[in-house]
Amino acid sequence: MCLLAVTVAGWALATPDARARASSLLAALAKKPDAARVASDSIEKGTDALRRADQLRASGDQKRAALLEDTALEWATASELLDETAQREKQLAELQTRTTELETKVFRAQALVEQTVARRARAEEALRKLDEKGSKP
Amino acid sequence: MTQRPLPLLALLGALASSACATPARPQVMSQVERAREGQAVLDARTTAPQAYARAELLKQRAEQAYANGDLPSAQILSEQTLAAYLRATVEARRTRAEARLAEARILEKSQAERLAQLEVEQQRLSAEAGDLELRAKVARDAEPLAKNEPASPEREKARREAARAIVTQGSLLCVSARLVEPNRSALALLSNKAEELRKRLGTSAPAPIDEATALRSDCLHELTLARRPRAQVNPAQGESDALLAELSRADFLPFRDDRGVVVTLHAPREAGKLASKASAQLADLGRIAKAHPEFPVLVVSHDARPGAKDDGLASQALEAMKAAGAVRLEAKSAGNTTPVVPPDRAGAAARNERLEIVFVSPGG
Repeated sequence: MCLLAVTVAGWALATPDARARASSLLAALAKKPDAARVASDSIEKGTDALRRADQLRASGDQKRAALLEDTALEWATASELLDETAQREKQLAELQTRTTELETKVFRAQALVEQTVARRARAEEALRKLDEKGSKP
Repeated sequence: MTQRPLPLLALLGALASSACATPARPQVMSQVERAREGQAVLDARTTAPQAYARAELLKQRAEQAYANGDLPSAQILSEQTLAAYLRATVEARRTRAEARLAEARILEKSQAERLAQLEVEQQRLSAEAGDLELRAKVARDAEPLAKNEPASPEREKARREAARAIVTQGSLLCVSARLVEPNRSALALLSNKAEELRKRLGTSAPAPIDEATALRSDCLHELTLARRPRAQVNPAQGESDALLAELSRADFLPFRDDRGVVVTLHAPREAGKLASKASAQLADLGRIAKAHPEFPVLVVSHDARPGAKDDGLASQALEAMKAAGAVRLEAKSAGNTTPVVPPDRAGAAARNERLEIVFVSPGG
């Protein structure tokens, strides 16, 4: 009875194309060096789950094989998500670098504007003095 | 025989109790517990609630399988639960990264806009400051000078050289003013004055240093007045900065002076003619002049040979630039009147002999 209940629950979670989807995702990830770097552990676990599912199918345990295929899909999906997230984080780091550079440029530009305002004020003052001097008899 | 049912019952009882005894939990179920208590999963509960709920459901199913005594299924479902928790934490990470990415994009945009505003403001202020400084300089130059008294022969010689250089500078400023405003009436008079001073400098009469200085000041004043209408229409124009930047990018090492943006070409002569390297550089400069037609170009040749006559080098340079598309040009020879270093110094000739290409600034 216990075994039957769990097996039914296992089938309820199983999706018919889990194996194909897991295999396809893992194959796609294997072609991406960055994915292999950031998600090597979960890719390995997904591949291992597929291998064990094959063994169970060969031994006739179709129900647990399906459970393992779902597990492989879960690991493969998590690996894909890890790869995408790492890419977003890389974009974020690059954008933050650019923003920091821009902030530095803004800071320098602000300082230059202030210097130029002072330069203009000095020139105005010099001109005013020269005009005053020139207007005196 | 009457005693046999008791051991049989005991054996059956033992078998029944062993069948219902709780088996040892698979190790992976403990890993699930630890993962579930971790900070990343706790964060995911609020940031990625759906993924978290899915992992919780899988955990319940693993527990159910274990309670039913199906250890292999409990093992597999627990592994799946671990993967689902990982997925929830990564989803939470991605959500946070995307939120920060959106914030960073807004910040980048606002900083870029601020920078653009500051650059426009800087150009405007710089043009205004430059105009005021030039007006102050003109006003200062226009102040009456203390008369130079007769001096010793050495001093007189030095004064003559200085006067010659100042007359040349004044003439070139007047030519620049004419290039900006061809019909400016005062320029003809100043040109005659420059010619007269040159003649006097060729005689043994005292060097007309004060008159030369006044000529230079008057020519600078005329150039300022010629530029004023354009500067008043648009005081913030950055055309001179753009030209300077373009020439810098082309490795011409430009600089500014009262006339505008200046490029100096050294070793311009080769067997008495325009050197091939200088020709190539002039062609490049001609193309740049063509792209900036608002800047008239003054080509000035400087000779290092004592007493040398104008050998037409400036005119040859002018033609080379014309061939590349430049349209508003004038050529002048400054002879050896404005050396960069004293002619008697070692290596002076190489530095003093040069071509100056002046992109006369049309406004401010």
